[in-house]
Amino acid sequence: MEILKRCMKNKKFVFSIFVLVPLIFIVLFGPMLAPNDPLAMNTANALAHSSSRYPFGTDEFGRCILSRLLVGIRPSMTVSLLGTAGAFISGLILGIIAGYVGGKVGDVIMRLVDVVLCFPPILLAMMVVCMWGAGVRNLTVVVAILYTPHFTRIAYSSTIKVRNMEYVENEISVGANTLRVLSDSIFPNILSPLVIQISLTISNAILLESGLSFLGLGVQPPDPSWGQMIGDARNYLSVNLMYTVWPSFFLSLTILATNLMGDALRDVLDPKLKESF
Amino acid sequence: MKNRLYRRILSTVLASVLVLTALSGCGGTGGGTSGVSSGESGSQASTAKKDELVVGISADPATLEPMVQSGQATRLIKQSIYRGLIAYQADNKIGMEIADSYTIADDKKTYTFKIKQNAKFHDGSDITAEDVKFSMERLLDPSVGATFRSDFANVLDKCEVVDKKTVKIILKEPCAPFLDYLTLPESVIVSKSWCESHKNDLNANPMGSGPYMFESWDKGREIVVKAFKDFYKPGKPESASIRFVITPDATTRANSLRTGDVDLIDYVAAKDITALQKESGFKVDISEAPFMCLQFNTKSGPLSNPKVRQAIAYAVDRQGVINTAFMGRGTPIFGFPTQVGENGYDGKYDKYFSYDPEKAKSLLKEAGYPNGFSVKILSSSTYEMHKQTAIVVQDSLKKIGINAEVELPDWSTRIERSNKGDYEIMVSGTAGNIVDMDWTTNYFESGEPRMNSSAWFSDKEVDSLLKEGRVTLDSGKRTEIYDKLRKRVLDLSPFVFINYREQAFARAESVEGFVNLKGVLTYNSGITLEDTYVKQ
Repeated sequence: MEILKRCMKNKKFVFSIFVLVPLIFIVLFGPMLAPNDPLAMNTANALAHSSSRYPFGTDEFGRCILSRLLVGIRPSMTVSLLGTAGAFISGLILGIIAGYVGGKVGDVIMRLVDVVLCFPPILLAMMVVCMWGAGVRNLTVVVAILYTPHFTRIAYSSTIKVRNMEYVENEISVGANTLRVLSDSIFPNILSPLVIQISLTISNAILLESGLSFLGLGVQPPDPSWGQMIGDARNYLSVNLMYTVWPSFFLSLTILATNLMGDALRDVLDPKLKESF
Repeated sequence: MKNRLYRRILSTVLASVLVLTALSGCGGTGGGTSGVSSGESGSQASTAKKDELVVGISADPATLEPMVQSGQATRLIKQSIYRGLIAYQADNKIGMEIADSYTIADDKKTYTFKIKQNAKFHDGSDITAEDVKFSMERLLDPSVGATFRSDFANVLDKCEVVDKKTVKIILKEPCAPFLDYLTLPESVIVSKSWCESHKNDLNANPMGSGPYMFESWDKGREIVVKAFKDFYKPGKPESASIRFVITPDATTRANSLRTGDVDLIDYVAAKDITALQKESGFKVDISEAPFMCLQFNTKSGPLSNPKVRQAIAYAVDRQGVINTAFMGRGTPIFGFPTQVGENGYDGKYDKYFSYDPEKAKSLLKEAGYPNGFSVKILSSSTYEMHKQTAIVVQDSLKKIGINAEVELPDWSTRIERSNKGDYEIMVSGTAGNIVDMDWTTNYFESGEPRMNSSAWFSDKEVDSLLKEGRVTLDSGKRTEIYDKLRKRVLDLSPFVFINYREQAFARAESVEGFVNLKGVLTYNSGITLEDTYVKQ
């Protein structure tokens, strides 16, 4: 509860909560909130400006932009949340194995991790899409692969530190369950860096999914995604500016909020990191 | 101490800002070279011309093999490098190219061509009858994969070399549109000795006899061609070189014209047509003839059933496609894409279909698919109009219970897949290729999958009507034959025709000589690049 109090005092945290809570609400109830069917076309009314029926106007197919925005956040969220979860689990497992077993196995794992870290994210994503096709499922896999290294490193360094502690060695030699001992000593250490990393990963993943959908490699038509809407809207900047502005604005706001959340959590949970930035 | 430090930083920053602004001011235009004269022997015109013409094209060629049709953007390049015996010229009439003259024997089967004495290839060698014979045979060679191979295979019997500059082309039967076949940008004459010494790979080693010589291909970025000084048309080409800048994004392409980075662009999108017509300094040339349509893989499954295809023809929201993909500019096609008057057509099938989703659903039920089915629509991300047509069709199909997934590869991949018949439903934009109803042969004749046909479509009646239309020379009889063909094709619907669209080029006002040929010939407009130059 001490932590919660500290959170509430942090301005960045409060701001991001203001944005993220409604966002989560939209993710869960978006389709019900939408005033129109996000897929319903009415081509005679294409690229219209806002009206009572279409609060944010219509796109080139006459579809309601607001409805598509409300529904379009889901693929971004799916990719980033599931992808991050995947990265978290695989990173943790790989890191702990590398740290505990050490030796050649540990080296191989950590070098592989380095290789993935060196890959430019968009390039890796495009390779995966070219080989296995576009779509939400493949993008989730890409995100999981790309962000595993970050979690691996956190788990690895903690495991190394813990493994060498005397009391751990003692406990294990006496016969206590290794796994239990390790987890009891490792997890408290990595909890805060993990939480920070999770929120940073989510914001990076949202950006990655939007970038790929913008290029046409992510969510496929007719399903909406914010990045895809921005990509389509680009052709109509001179005809209906708001078509580009709305998804761009909401996307920026979301990424800002998740980023700030990460910063805020870092401030609260690990204040000594603050000075190094 | 701190004061001095701050002042130093400030002055450094100010100095760098000044330097940077000065440098960017001297930068000059991105892209085009400025006119450094190279003493080009070609033109005698007294107007000052820029040496280089820069053309923004919409797609990177899938291949530079001249006998393969890879789209209109590639044809602009092809017609600069290669020519055939005859071609449609800027005045929309057939004119001589490599041929100097020709005669047709009374049996209507033997065409004797005399080759121009001064016709040469880019490597300096003379064009001879041997090269013509080799090229005709190369069109029939399956390993080359010429797009119009089957059309030529239907009619060509053999070629005979009479002397160095005289060749006889002998047909199996009279063929009314044969001269039109020879005007195709793919009916090129290539060098026999060059092909033999370069493994017959003209994609890797382009060499022709057109007004421009291939210089370089920076894949995905640009292709440069340089004027051929021994071109057989005196005074041509007008520009010393052409640089084709590959700019797939339509908005970027239009903007590159606005900034002066390019002088001429192809495939002007509907919204840009309206905008550029309003802006001063630019001219937009429009031809309305290409049409959007759907091709089907008719080998198996629901799409092999004509009732299903007819259902789709009733279900497609044609006006929706026009509104979305063409900003309302275009005309829906409810019948067969023939302009009234072409080969005597009087418009009797123009209202064969209508927009009727209920009828479509009942046809699907009759065909045995009351609950619809799943299918994939192949389109392309490169051309927004293709993509948007696919999305509207997807929506139209959903309304009658067909679940369609849209595939959006880049244009090269889309062309490759069309050549192999690797699709279920495919969105196409095409124009028919020749100015005669026999354009239908390439599209509806049975045979191996090829770019312009619905893969594996085969109907005996269609084949025999096509053949009759070809060999009959009487125009009245041909009108009747093609009416029967239209009805049969609409009944079986191997294609669903959607709408006519505008084909537009846009250029800076300083660009002279370029002509967007009328109607179907718009796809042959590349021939006027030999007349095109930029006034200085």
